[in-house]
Amino acid sequence: MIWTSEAYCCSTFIRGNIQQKTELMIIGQTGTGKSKIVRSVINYLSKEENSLNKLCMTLSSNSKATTIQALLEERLQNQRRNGQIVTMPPPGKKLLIQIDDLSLNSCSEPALEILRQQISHHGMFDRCSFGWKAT
Amino acid sequence: MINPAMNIVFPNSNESLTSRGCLAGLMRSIMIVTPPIKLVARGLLQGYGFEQIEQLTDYFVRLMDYCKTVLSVYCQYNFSLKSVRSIIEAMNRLSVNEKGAEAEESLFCEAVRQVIGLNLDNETKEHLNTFVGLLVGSFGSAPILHQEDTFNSKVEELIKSVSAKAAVIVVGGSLEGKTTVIRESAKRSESTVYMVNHGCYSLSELFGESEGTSGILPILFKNSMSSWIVLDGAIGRTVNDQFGLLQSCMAINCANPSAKLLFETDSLAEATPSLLSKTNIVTVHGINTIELLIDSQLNEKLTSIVPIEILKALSQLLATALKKLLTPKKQFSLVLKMTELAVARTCCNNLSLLFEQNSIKLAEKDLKESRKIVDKLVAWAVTWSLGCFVFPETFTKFEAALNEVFKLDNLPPGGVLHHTLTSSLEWAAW
Repeated sequence: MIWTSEAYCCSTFIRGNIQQKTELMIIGQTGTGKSKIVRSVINYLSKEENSLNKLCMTLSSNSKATTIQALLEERLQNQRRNGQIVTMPPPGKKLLIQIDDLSLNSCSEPALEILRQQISHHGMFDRCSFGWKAT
Repeated sequence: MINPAMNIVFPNSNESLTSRGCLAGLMRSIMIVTPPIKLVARGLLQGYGFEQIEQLTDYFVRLMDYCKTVLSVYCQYNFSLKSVRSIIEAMNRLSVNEKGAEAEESLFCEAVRQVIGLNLDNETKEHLNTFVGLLVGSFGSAPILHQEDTFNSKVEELIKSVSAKAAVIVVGGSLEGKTTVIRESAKRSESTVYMVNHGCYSLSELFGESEGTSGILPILFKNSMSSWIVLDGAIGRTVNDQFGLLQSCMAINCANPSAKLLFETDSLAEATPSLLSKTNIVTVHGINTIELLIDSQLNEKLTSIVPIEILKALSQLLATALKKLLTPKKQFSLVLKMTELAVARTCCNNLSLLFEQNSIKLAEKDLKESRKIVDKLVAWAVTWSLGCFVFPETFTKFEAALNEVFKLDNLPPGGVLHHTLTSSLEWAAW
């Protein structure tokens, strides 16, 4: 990968936002190197800190909310915090989710809605017991 | 032969059904016409024991005419008999011991404000204010309907609306503060809020396989005492079609009538009249301004790093700069459809990022040069939150506008977009 000044400044912003735990959306035309830059930043960060767990998924029009929820739940554990059960990454670890191809037109709506719920309300309803699980 | 003991009664307000000739042809139709407002209003007023019946009935007839001609552009208003009833009921609720001509007139004004006025934008509110003032003959005295929307007034309004009806729709754009208003109102009325994003669950997961059995909503209705269940997401086909089921779900599972249903949405464009007539509507708009957002975000993120004087100047300049750049609409064509509030939030996020990454710390001694520092920081933050989303063809326009806001000597040669700020707050190329 050739590090131009644009790529460098983008990666600085991406790295900073990941460290601040801010949700990020990366936009650009095809071939501008979105995925490459993100991947190299994630690789750099995971070498720097061992505590980073990665989860990469690619969305398409066939993506289902249930599949995304199952993928997320696979990486999370039930922990007790302040007397309440919270699902979270293993102790001492951070989970970084990279979603490729979040093209808003072709993706199915429930798949995007589950991501919105996770970002704005920090949790999901269990698909079997129907109870709320805070993340 | 048709069994005469079995009758099908099909109440319907949907005109499209008449086009299904085969179905309509099988039935004998009866049309219920709208009864005269005057009679209904007079009857209701008499029933509630008001004295100035003729006068008030006259007000109602004129008010309904006004609503039909002026306010019917608002899709959320259904100015039919239901609104007459709502206003008279509100008058009755308000009148505890007050009777007599003057008291009844002011009751009428207050009821109009509560039922119609609260959800209008400021310009139309003024218009309605003038109309009611002329109608009641108190034009020129203190404005009756005018009320500025503040966070507190919206919270109070939501609490009132929720206590009046079991289902309420909260409308407003993103970052306008809908969720904050809902959470604060629930806190004040000692209720718990459950947020459900109905878009990501199937109908069987939401309502259970058969009506009222296990599902997200039946369990919430059943188990939670005094709770507000908020359906967060667009009001589309699911909500419109399933509202009857939602109500029955509440009725079946609610041993406690304190469970309330709220909808949080950004638009009412797809809501059907039948849904709107059964719910109260609270509009949350314009209570979260750029200044408030920037103040709260900067205070949250930078209080420990930046002296309070510089922080104040920073938030003031940031707000004015953004307003100057964003006020002429469509001045620059943006890659994203970003609202003003979203741009302001990105600005604050960028600033905290800059401070953290370059480990910048401002001390009291920097106060002398505060103007210079603030200029640089704001120019950088604005460029990296708004300028980087401007299409290349309008970028020169953006730079010219930026030069107008800030002094030319503060900006680096070659444009801010190619520069960052170092830990000593000097411009440096990326």
